[in-house]
Amino acid sequence: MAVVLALFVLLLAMASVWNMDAGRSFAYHTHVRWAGPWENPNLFGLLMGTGVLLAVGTAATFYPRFSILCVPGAGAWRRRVAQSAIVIWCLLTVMLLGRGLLHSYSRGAWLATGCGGMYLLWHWLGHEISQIHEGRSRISFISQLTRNWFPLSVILVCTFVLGFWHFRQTEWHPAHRALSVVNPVDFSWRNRVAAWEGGVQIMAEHPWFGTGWNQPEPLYANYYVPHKLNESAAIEMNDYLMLGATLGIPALFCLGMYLWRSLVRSAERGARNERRETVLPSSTFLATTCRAGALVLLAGFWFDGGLFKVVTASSFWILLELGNVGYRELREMHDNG
Amino acid sequence: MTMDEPQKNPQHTENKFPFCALCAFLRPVTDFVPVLAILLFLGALFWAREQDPFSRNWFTLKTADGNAFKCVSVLPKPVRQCPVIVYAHGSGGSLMNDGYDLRQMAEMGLAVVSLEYNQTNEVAFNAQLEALRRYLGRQKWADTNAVAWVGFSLGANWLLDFASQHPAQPPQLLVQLSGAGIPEALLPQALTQPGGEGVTNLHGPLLLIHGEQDGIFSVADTERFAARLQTNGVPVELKVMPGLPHGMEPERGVIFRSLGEYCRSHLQSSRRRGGGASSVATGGSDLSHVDPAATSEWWQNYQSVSRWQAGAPALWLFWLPAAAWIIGGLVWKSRKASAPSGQRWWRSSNGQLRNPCSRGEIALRWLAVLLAAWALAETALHLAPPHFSVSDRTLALARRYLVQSKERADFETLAGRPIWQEQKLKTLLDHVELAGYNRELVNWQLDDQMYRDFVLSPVITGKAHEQLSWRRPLWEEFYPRIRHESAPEDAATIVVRHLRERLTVVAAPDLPRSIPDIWLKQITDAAGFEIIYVAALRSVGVPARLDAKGHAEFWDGNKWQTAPAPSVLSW
Repeated sequence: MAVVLALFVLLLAMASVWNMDAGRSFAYHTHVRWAGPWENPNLFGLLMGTGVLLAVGTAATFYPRFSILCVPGAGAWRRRVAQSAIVIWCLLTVMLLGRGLLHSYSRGAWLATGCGGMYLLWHWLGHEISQIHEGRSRISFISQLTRNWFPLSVILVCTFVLGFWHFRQTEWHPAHRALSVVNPVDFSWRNRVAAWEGGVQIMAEHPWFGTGWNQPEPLYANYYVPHKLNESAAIEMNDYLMLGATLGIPALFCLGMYLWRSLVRSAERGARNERRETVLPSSTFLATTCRAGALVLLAGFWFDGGLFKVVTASSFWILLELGNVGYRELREMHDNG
Repeated sequence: MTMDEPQKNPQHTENKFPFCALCAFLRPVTDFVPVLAILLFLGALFWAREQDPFSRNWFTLKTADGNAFKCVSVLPKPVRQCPVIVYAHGSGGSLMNDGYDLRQMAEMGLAVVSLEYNQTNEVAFNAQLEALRRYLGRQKWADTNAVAWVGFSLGANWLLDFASQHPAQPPQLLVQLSGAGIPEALLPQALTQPGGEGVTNLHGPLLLIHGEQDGIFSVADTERFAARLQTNGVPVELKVMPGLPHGMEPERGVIFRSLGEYCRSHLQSSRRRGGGASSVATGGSDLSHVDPAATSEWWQNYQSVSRWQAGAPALWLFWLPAAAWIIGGLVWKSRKASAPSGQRWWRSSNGQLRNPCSRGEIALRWLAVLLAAWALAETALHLAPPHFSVSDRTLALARRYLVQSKERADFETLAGRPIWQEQKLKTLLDHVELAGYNRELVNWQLDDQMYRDFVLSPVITGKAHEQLSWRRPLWEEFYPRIRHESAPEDAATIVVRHLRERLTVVAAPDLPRSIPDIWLKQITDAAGFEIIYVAALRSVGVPARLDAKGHAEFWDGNKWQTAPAPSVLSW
């Protein structure tokens, strides 16, 4: 799994420096939005966000202090050097991919990366907390964090609110772009919200079997788009509503259930098995990393689409299935005593 | 609900239902998050349905010889019995592409039905139309005493043929858009045969709409056809649209709205008279015969799409079950968490409760409290004052916290005018912010005086109690359409076209005249149209005003000139 992830991250890192001047058709104010080898900066941003989390997760897995591979004895120093090299490589990759993510100016990708990052952090904290309960934690601030999570959350939220009110007129483009989601004169998000409403209206009128493949777009453009909008392409950016409008609510429900089972149920199983281990097993954390990467894409499919595009869809399904592999290994180990 | 679910052996759980994969698949449905997601989704679904001003019904009919064809009806909500328009698109058209035209007509409170007819065989078309007529006769929402047939191009020609071949079942109104008319080559035949081209069987009334630049069917043919009908005593009206091609673009939206209004007025009169068949038979149906009382009353109570959406329930009402689920989950979790542990608080030796927090933790909590108070105060300062009336105090607050430095001059100019009595501060701020922002975006330059007097200023008529809160809705509607224009003239043409697509202009008493009211009710008279036209131009940065006669005029960069008129003001 580590090899697959490393290859994937390597490819994404190469994509992040691919032909940056080609995607001039997309711009945010005076800034070119990077699209890499793809035509769409949102896709590029999503993949960069996925890559960032995969690289972070891989680095964390091989970081000598945490890694299960760090076993004292003969050849341990060589292993430690190899691990350090991997970690340094991953961190360099994070910088490259992070740069690509920033320059994509894709708000959906930024938010999706945040969601995936939260998931990764949450899982890691959960593991550490379980270690605290068993008196085996190696990180001292975790207990402080768990005791003071509420005031810390309040401080974080308040800092964000205050930052928003004081810097909402900032001229720094990334911040300006990020804050545009609460800008009432930004038509981009308003078009999307209107398209979501239209998508739900289509589902309400065709609840069981949907409208059929390739029908929601023209249907929305002709029968549902509000008169005040002069374009209707935004409906294609939300894959879940597109799927519901195309195949009906039962199909959407099945997809939702499958994703929930894949992401959450396997994580619960893994967490139960993990509690028997003294340190975070590398395969488990790699699986969590894969799921975090899948989660980035999953969140991105809501804002920018991609479930029906080869590059993002294939990455998503591979990561989702890899997310289950680690737990299967643990389970087999557990079953075999 | 599986928050902090007790540990179970997953194998054990799975072995319990080895035979039931479906049970295993659906088990997550009882989890907290999936249930929440389902409740949110269902709430959104019902809300979106309530917001939707139309009900669309896709159905398949069969002709007498068993051939199936698809139809769609677009019904205005609330669904009740109303006049019907049967629409037949032109050659190459499809049900999918009819949507915008159907909605434009349905906005007039008409049930509009379109059919996917056989475009290569007129006999098959006749059978399909017959099947559709039978279907309409069975529908509760269809007022079969008030039916109009509207055809475009090929559809118009075949509807006309059908009407002339079935004179016993005429529609109350037949409308031909870009129809064939009588070609010059067939004129001798039309002249020699009384009422040639089947005209003898037509009793009308007919409305013919034709583009002056139609390259497929000449406007002269239609004029010839109209003259022939008039000779035969058929009530007919011909509307020639200057400069428009066969497809009626770019005025198609205006034409279909005007057509809807026309049909509504005539069918409303038909309903009052108790149906068209008898009146046609007696020759009582006349295009000029519109019952003014009936139509006036209807237009005064006109239910616009905007009004429907403004009156629809808010989304949060539909999300109350989800909110209840969240609260229930939190209560359940907190009860479970606080049950036995007592780790955070414990009793000291003298029996008093002791806080185990260190000084650092106490400081952290105080910091959180202080920051929360600061953030709340800051948020309140930004969000609350705009909802207060304009006064010295709210203006001072706005100057200090709400107005950017680059907007300060515009703000002072507007705030200094004696027009803000009983107006909300939000209205003033909207004008300053949006006019300034729009000025940065548009591709033409204005001097400050012109900008402040005829773009920034919210006063259009200067009458007492003029409602000023119009800029945001108009800017949101019109700016995206003119964003690429480089001259005020071009912007004005686009503005008037879209304005007419969204507004009905009729001559009736007690119609709204204030801009927010006109925009909400989507109806006004000619004078009201000029007022909102000026506002719409100003909202997109075109300097505009009313001239001495109450007509809109705009500044083209050199001089004031009369603003372009809509292609159809009122039929």
